[in-house]
Amino acid sequence: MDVFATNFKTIDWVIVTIYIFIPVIIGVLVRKYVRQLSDFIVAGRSLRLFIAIATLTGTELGLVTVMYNAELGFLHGFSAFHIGIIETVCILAIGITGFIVYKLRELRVMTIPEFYEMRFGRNVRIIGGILLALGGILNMGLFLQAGARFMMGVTGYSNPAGLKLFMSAMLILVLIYTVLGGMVSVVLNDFLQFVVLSIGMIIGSFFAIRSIGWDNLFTAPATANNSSWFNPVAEGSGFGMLYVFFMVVLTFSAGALWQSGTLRALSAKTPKVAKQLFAWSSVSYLARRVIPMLWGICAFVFVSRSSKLLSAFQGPEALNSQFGMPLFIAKILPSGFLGLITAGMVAAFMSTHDSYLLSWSSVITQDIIAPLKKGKLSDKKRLLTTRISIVTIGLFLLIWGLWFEAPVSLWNYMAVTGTIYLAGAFTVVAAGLYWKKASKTGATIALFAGLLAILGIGPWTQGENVPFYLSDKFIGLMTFVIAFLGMIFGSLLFPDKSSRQEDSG
Amino acid sequence: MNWTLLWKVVLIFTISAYSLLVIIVIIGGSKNIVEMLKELGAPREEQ
Repeated sequence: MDVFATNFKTIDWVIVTIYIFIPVIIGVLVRKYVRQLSDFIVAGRSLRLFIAIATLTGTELGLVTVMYNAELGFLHGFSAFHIGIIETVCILAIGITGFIVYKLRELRVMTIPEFYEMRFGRNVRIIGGILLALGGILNMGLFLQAGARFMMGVTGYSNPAGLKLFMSAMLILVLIYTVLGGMVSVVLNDFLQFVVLSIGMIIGSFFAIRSIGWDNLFTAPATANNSSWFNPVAEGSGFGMLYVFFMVVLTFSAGALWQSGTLRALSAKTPKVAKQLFAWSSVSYLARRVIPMLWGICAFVFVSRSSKLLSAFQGPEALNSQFGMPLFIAKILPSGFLGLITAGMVAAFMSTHDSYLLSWSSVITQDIIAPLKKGKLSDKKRLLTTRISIVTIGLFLLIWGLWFEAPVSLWNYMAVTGTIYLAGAFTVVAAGLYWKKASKTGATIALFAGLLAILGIGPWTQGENVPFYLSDKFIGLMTFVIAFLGMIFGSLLFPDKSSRQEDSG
Repeated sequence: MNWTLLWKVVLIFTISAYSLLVIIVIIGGSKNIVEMLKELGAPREEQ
C-alpha cells in the first residue's frame, strides 16, 4: 500500500473549499456588531450557557488538539487516555467549585493580567502580560506546522513545498476574519465548527473502530509492549508517575487560567454561567482527548499491519509520528465524508487560531502597550493595535513553524511552553484571590520563575536515555514548584506596604 | 487493575456522553445566538 494513498477526491476538495470561506463571510457580516473594545474581545459579555459551551469546545478542540492527542495515541496507545481522565476531573472540579473563574468573572476583567494590576499594581501587570504573550505565542508556534501535516496526510500531497503552501493559505484566511469580526465572529464560527467537527468525530470514530475491529482494538500490536500500551505508569510507557503529577498540575492550572478558555468564562453573561460552563464542558474536554487518541491508536494498529507503512515510520528517514492519524483516515474514510471531516478539521484549525490570535493580541494591547501608555490609548487605537498584533503574531507563526521541530512530541511541546505562563499565572492568581498576604514581590518572582520552563524545549530533552532531571516533565513540574515557593517566600519576606500597615494597625 | 476494561468503559462513556452533549448544545446554542445578536444589535451608549 502506498504511504500517501488517499480516498480524498475532487468532491472532497470542493467541500473543503466551499466550507473554508464560510468563516470569512461570517467575519464580514458580523462586523457591524463590533462597536467597542469589549465587543471585540469579550463579545460584550453576552454569552449564554450553550453558546458558551460550544465556543469553549470550539476553541479547545482544534485541529492541533486532534493532532497532538492522535500522536499520543499513536505513540503510547491507551496509556495516553490517563491525560484525558486527569483533565476531565480537573475541569469538573473547577466547574463545581468555581475556583478562580467565578471570582474573575465577578471582577469583570477582560484578561488575566488585568487582574494582576487590580491586586498587585501596574508593573506586575506588564511583566505578567509579557510572559503571557511570550508563553502563549510560543505555544501556538507549531500550530501551522501540525495543520499543514494533517492536510498533507489527508490529501496525499507529499511534496515538501506543500507544507509552506498550506500554512500560508490557512493563515491568511484566519487573519482576515479575526481582524474583521473579533470575538463575535469567533463565537459564531466556533459554534459552526463545534457542530460539524463533533458530528464528524463521532461518525469517524465508528469508521475507525470498524476498520480495526472492536476486539483487535484492545489487543496491543506486536510491535508495542503489551503492558505499557495500557498502563501509563508501567515501565516503557513514556509517561510514569512524574508525568502524571505534571499533568495534574498543568491541566488544573490550564483549565482555570488558559487565556483562550478563561476568555470564554470572562465573556459569560454572569459568574454563575461561567461556573456552569466548566461543569458542562468537562465532557467536551474528555472527548477532545479520548476521541483523537482513539484515532491515533487505530492508526498505529493499521500501520503495524502493513510492513510498507510500518517501515515508513521507522529508521533515520522516518515520517513524523504526527502523520500517523491523517494517513490512516485518508485510507479508511469514504470520499465525501473525508471531505466533510477535513472541512471540520480545517474549521477547527481556524477556530483555534482565531481565538488564540485574539487572546494574545488583546494581551499585548491591554496588558503591555496600554499600561505603558498609562491609560492614554483610546478605544479606537486599542482596536487598531490589537489588529496589528494579530497580523504580527501570524507572521511569527509562519517563520517559527517552518524551522522548529518539537523535541519529544507535539503535546509535550505544548505542555512545556504553556508552563512558561501557567506556572506563574496560576500561583499569582490563586494567591491573589485567596491569600491576603500575597505581595507584589512574591508575584513578580512567581511570574519570572515560569521562564524556567523554556529549558524544557531544549535539544537535551530529546532521545531515549535522558536523565530524569533533564526531561521535559521534570523541568515542567519543577517550574510550578519554584513559582509556588517564590510566591510564598517572596510574600512573607517582602510584604506589601499596605499589608504591613494592616498588621501593625 | 484491569486497564483494558477501564479504557473500554472510558471509551464507551465518552462517545455516548459527548453525543448527548452535542445534541443539547446544538438546540440550546441556536437559541442563544439569536438572543446574543439581538442584544449586541440593540442601541446603547458608546464607551
